[in-house]
Amino acid sequence: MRSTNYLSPFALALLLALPGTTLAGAASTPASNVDAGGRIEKINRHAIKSAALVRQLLAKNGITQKQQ
Amino acid sequence: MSIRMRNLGLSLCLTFAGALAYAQSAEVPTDVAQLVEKFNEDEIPFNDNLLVLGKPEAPASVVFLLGLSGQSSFLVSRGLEDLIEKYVDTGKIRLIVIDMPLTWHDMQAFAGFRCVPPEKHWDVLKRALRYPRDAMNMKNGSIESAPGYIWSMMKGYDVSREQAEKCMRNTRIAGFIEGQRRVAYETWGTGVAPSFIVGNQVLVEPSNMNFVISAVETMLKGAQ
Repeated sequence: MRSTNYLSPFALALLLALPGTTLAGAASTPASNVDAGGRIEKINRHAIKSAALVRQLLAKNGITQKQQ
Repeated sequence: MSIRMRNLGLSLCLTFAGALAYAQSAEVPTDVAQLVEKFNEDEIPFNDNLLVLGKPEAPASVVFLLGLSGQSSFLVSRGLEDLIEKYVDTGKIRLIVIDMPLTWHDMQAFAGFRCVPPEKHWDVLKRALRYPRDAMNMKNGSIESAPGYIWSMMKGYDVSREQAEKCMRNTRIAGFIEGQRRVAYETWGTGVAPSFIVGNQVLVEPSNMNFVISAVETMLKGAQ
């Protein structure tokens, strides 16, 4: 399993992974406020805790996880 | 200039170039940054369990990565109910549903649905997927306008519109949704929905539910 301890790349991954306006990726002007008032970092921290919970819940339901 | 100084200069240039490349790759769309900046950090009670359909004693589990903006509507209307009737309701498998946001529209929708009473969670997801045009219209609108479309899917599920919109834009709930997306990506190597994980097989955007049913049959035969 890959490490999820490095916050900033994942915080950015969260922003970059999900497109905004369209899936086709309409051109947007890059924002200067990358961390959106710190909210991205907050979401990221909750995501790390939640990911651990989700893994536990999957294991509880008999899902054996394997690294891809 | 000594060779040492020249090497140091070269190293600094490379470091600067790397930093510049990273900064450029870190650019985010304005609409996304503006949206997330409005998210609240309230401690809202929400359903933080995985949605599991079927009987606890079922011998096997299948994971369903559900994304509103993918082809899920088609699958749900044409084949998923069949899968549920034949395999889930009869106790052969459990179906674990993972929220897999494909856009920030989906993210807000899944977050809103987490404030619906847990026993109605699957119902609201089915409602959201019933008419393909609902997700399509939402996706074609701006991410700012998504709550209006989401509310039309979740009204009648015991949540006020004010509360629903707070849930849609809450950092804790969005974190829970993102946690699911992240685990799916890290575990099964896909960020695409719909996808099904059946045993060791990852079926990404199957064009026909018969592929999923066939994989389930094979898995169950192997378990016997």
